[in-house]
Amino acid sequence: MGEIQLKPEYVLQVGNILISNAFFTSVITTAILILVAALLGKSLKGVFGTSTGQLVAEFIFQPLWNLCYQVLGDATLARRAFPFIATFFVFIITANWIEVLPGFLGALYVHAENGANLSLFRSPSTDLNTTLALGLVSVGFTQVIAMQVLGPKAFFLRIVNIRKPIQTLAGILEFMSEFSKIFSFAFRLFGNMFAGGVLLLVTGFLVPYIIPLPFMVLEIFVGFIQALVFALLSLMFIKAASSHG
Amino acid sequence: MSPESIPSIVSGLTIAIGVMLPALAIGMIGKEAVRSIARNPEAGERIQLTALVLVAFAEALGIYTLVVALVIKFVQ
Repeated sequence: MGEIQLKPEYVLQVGNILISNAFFTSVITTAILILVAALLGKSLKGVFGTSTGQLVAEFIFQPLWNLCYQVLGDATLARRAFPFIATFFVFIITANWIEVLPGFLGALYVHAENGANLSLFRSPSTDLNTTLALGLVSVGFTQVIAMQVLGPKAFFLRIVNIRKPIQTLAGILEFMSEFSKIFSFAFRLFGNMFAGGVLLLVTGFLVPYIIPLPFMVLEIFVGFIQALVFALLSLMFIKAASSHG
Repeated sequence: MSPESIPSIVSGLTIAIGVMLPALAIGMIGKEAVRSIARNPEAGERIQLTALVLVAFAEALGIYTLVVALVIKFVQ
């Protein structure tokens, strides 16, 4: 049971760069997504096409587009934000569900220097580095969109407004809360997925037959909810940041 | 209470006490959400979305406590 580690475990080395198993799995996740996107993209046939690939793609992306449009309200803004939101959702849900995929996680082992056997695969969301990167991208993208929509003058006036001192105080507090949003995103996703992984490990260790099954169902559900919450929260912050006044 | 077992005890206490208030918060959000959907079923989608976002905020606080408990237990 010595496989529970908060630190990233380095399993490969490319030149001078150490690659952790979570990063390796995230590259595999991206490869899977690119493959699926290429396969679905080949069968798109216009607005009224009814090929299977097109129906699957619409099943995945139509609700996401409706969500973006419903929350943001403006078609051009929704069209600008939709690729990021959809990618957040699809990447995070794939990364979360890879953890529950049977036979995937403990498949290959790499022998490390200090004698421990490290698993080659580890879900990217269970590593704080990946979730921190996702949080940074989300909050950074929110600021970029806010600056594009509001214009640079109004964007900075929201933080520091010399004419209205009370609004400056609130603006500085809001500026601090942007940083706390990064950590909130990172720790929410990391905590949920890491705890789920530890739970599956412990139940698999205690009673390997039948008992882990309800916990795997719970993990599938939690993975879906966490991906949805990440995308939804990013959407709400974009709306809050780019609304006037 | 030997010094070797203190991290385990403290970790267990941290997570047990730390999730009490977030659990209460999630319950209160759920109660008001269900009540307001019952009062106004037309706004059901809107209320569901809002409730989900608020529950995510409250749950994140419990997750912070969990991370602290894990750090106490697994990092020497």
